[in-house]
Amino acid sequence: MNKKLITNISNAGLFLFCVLYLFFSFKMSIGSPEMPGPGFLPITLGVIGSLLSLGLLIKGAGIGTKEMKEKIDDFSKQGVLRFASYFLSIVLFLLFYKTIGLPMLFLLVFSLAKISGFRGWVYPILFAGIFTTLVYLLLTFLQIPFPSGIL
Amino acid sequence: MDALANLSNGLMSALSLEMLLVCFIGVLVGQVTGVLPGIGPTGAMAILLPLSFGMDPGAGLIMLAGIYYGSMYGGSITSILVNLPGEAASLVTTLDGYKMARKGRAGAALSIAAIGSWVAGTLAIVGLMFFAPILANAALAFGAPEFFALGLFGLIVLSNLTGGSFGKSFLMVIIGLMISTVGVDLVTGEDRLTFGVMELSKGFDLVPVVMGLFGLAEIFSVALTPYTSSNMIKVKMKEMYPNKQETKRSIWPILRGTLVGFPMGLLPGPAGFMSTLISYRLEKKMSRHPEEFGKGAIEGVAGPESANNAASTSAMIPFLALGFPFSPPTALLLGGLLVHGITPGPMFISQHGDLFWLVVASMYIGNVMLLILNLPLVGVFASLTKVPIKILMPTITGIMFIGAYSINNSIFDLWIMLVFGLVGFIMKYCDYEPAPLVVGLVLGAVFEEGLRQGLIMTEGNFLMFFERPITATLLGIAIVIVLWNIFKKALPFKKASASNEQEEKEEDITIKTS
Repeated sequence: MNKKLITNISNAGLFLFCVLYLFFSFKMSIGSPEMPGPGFLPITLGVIGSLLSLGLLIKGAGIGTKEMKEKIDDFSKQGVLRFASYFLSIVLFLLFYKTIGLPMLFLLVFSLAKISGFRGWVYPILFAGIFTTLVYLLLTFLQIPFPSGIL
Repeated sequence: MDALANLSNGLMSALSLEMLLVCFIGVLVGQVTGVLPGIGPTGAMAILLPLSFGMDPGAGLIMLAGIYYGSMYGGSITSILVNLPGEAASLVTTLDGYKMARKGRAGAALSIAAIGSWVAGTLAIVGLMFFAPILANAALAFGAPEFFALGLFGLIVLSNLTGGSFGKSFLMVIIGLMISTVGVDLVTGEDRLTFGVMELSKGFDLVPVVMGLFGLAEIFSVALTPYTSSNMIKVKMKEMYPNKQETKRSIWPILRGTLVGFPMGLLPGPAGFMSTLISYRLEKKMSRHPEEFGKGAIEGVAGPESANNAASTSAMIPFLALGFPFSPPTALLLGGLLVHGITPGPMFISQHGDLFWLVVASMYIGNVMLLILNLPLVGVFASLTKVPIKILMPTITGIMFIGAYSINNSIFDLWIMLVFGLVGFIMKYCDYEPAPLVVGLVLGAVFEEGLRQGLIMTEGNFLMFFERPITATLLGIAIVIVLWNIFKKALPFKKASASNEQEEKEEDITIKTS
């Protein structure tokens, strides 16, 4: 993937974010200089942010330096797959952590261990089991709350 | 004399078994996070923040501060032995430290780094002890306009010092301020930008944002491109000490590094890293053997390692005396104190003097602990880089999510962390720095309160802000920095300094490629 492309997409994303922020800020009262309302700072920030991000977007689109034309080598097929699996494991953990509780932590650590390179089943299960047990004991000892879930 | 009496009281409390234990845990975790690439002090502090909630405020602050300054010690070990900086502030040490190690002088480099760190850390605590109360007393006279001006000044200087593009850093500051406006407006009680989501009424919590931007983003990066640790140079105990000439050549760089690092820590931005760069360039210019730099000059280790420790300690001054955390680690210290109902600021030292002196005393003790830990146990810490990613990454991810949940018992916080983790991951590839965003988020409330109250005080006449000397000075400097960044390309003397810039660029490239 090209660095320029990523930079342009993120600059466009930031511009969109600033414009949306400004749009919603206008729904608040700006007040007056003597008595600034809740929208005073958000509108000011929205205007500055939109102009600045637009400037960066235009500047970024025009730049053709050697550095910007560089390809980023990090995005190998294997790497992207590993990243996507990491992300998906975390999303599943967040969706079910409240209902299932600590067993979900076991599943998260187990899946991340497998994705990170553990071979076979015994060692990752053992690793995730020991980790979850230690966390459970530590949280109980320090009286730090965690979702009880199905336990 | 008052200061010494207060310090001796602080030492009495800090020498209790409980405080010694939390101080040891803090510096040990800091040392380990400094060694391990990927987990910086910010991530480690964010992970351990929930643990501090169960402690009393003093113990919690001692532990978190220990992680912060401890990481500065640990970073040098892998820089010297493995050519792999554990955290950004140790990057410069790889230039000469690793070369010394390859010449068989690893022990000398490590011990000079540890001794320099200890000297600089200790001298900076003396500075903290004397300057923080003076600054806090001066700040008692601050009104809303001064706090607004200080906030704006800090954010502009931060944007300028981050190292990358001023425009990009300033945009991150603006985004941080935008995020800080989400939640209930403290003046009118009106909900702002919450879109009916209950959890957003209290605004964005700092910890999930920091954990996402600094911790999870790094984990995503490692998932995409796992790092491999290079071969570690082994060091024997009998080789641990520098010879007479190396010691002699290190004394002045250590002192100069301290003098460079201390004021840098007072400024917003990546003080640790910036101070090492300045110290390295200064040592190279002042050296009788500049040709040795980059090939294993002891001054190239002694100066920068002292500078980053002095900077990390002096960064506590604006935080404790003014309540202004100018870096993500000090922002987390603020988060830790706020949970206990303690707000750092000009009144902090007078209202919570016992806590202030306890922390100062514990820092003296922590620095001694780190020196003892560093000299004989270097090999043990360096071997931590051998821990495989397949164990490290799942463990850190698990701890991060459990820790973030326990702060507010909120799954919503975990989603926030995931979103900011993704944002931080993308930012890495577009040269956007996360630190200005975090500082903008933290200073947002003070900044807005100062601006709105200041405008009410001056009946809407912003020009009256300039009639107050402190406000006028701070705003004046901020305006000059912005104008400089806008118009510097059009200035005529640009070409004259081109050769200097070229030289500095070459050095930066060496640092990046190493």
